[in-house]
Amino acid sequence: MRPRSLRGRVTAAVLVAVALSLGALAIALFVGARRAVWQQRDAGQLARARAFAALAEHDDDGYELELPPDLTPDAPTYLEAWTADGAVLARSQALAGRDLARSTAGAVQVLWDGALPDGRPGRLCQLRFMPREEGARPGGEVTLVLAESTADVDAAIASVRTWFAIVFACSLALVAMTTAWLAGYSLRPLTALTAQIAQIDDRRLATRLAIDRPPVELAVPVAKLNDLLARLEASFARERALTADVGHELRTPLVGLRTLLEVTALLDRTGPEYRTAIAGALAIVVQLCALVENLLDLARLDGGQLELSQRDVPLRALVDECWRPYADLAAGRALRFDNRIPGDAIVTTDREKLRVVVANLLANAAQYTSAGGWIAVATGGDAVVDVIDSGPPIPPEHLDKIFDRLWRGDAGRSSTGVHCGIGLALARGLCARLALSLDATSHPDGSVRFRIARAGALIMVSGSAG
Amino acid sequence: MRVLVVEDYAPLRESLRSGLIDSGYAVDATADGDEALWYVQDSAYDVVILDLMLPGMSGLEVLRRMRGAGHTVHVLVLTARDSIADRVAGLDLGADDYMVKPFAFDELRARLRALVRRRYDRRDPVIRIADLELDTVKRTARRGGVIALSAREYALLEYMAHRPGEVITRDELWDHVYDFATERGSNVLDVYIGYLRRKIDDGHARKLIHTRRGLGYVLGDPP
Repeated sequence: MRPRSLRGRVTAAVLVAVALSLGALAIALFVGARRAVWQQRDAGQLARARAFAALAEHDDDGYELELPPDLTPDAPTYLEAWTADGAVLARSQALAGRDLARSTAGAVQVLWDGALPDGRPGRLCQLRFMPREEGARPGGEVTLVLAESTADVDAAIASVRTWFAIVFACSLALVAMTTAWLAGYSLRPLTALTAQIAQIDDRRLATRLAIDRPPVELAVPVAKLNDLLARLEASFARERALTADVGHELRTPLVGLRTLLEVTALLDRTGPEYRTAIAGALAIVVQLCALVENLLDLARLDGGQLELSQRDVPLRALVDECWRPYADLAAGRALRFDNRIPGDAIVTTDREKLRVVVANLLANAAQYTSAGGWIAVATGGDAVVDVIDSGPPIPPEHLDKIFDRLWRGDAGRSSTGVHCGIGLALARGLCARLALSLDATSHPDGSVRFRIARAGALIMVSGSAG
Repeated sequence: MRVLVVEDYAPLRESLRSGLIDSGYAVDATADGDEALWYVQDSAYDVVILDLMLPGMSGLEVLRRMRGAGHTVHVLVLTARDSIADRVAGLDLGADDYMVKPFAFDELRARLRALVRRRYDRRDPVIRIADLELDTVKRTARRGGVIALSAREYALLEYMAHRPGEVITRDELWDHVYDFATERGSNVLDVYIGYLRRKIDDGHARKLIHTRRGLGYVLGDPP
């Protein structure tokens, strides 16, 4: 079903209201006018009846009432008079010997509707009066009935009714047209807005709604819609960039895997050669899995689906556990590792989430600290965990950007699969979930410190600080 | 032929190195732009395979410095950066070819062969010297019939065949057939040349491999 338009609704509502008002007014006017016409007419007929009555005389010879000749033989008026004893005193010629109806009411004057002897609708007026006395003996009461056609009045009233109907219909039509135009005019900003909104799709999110002199009712919705569009545009841009970046990051290890398999398939290999190739492929797959896991964790973090499970966590042991996978890599790069966290330092938090954060920081340190340097882990003061390495330093302008997802400050770092700009973003997101903060600082001596610090009350460190 | 692979993603670097060695190339590999410049300065490579996104010095900067220093080695850029602007920038900085990851290893080898041919100003992948015929795609040699050659013997022969009639020094031969890690032996080359001479010239009146005492070797008619 096609939805009804606001313009149609407004027009219909106004039309109904106007029709009801005009209708009531017209009916009241018509009824009043008709009553006035009838009253006027009745008064006239009564006056004429009285005029006839004034012609009646009584003397000692009896009653006398001389009727004037009928001037309108085609549409005659009828008159008949009776004496008190019921004898016909006078009868108009048009009656041709027939009697008019008489009212039995005792009133001096009575008017009522009735049919004329010629069949036309009419009105009858009955007077009881004493005729002018000319004789010595008083006469009795005379009853006079004057019957006149009401056709002229009925025609006038019908004409008035017709005019009322025409004026009513024209008024309604005028109101309908005016209301429709006014509604359309008033809704023009909304129509313009609708046209602009109809143009917006996922490729035109940069569009902003703009209408001239927006009415008060639309100013807030337009502003809110523009805000929403801006957020949508930013969100789509982020999603597109993230999709492109994720594709890029997945491509690097996949290219490595493909080349490894193609090269292995080049020649017939020995068993150990195949085992070496499979181990290489497995390492890349493990790397891909870690990348995908990081991405999934980020998605869960975004979706608010990460549940926390608080417990007491021995910090030193956690750091040792996180370092173990990178010990060989660090040894190969002649890096010294120093876990300075006291053995009795306990932290109350979600162990698995904190483990992911610390493991990410240590993985970065093992990967990027200059060969022959050092990595130290400590706790104390505001710091829950400090991961410090001997550098190279991170340029100050990059210190916050390194926590952006898939940010590529150092193009080379992006192509190692796991360390592709997801780990630090995930670590900071997890820290926020744990009511912690994660920041990086470069020191003048070239060392870099990643500090996990308290941002709320969810975490408590007990034991002696190192 | 000797190739330098500059790629920071270790698994890919190792696969490329291993695959190219299996394909008969002498291969050095590094993940570092500075080290790549040092390699190019030190050794005579036929082709450098260069990734653009390197830690520290970028691949484009490596290329710029190589060309700035006057190195004419052929460079094949192998990168995930696939925009037109990236390709134009790479080629305009002096790259000879541009391949986008992901790639097929067979195509990489074909492009390497094409670059080697360009380096020695050749079009035909089959090299003919008198009645000796070298198919650089199939890596086979024929003189009358098919000659069975080891990978090292073929590599030596192909390099010499690219420069027929020229005196090629032992150092040049070594530079183009052995990688950086191989220790230079005093008579290893002489031994392989001896093997080649037996396989190619024995039974033929016209000898193709000639020794220029104190200078090196010549394949084909000497100057």
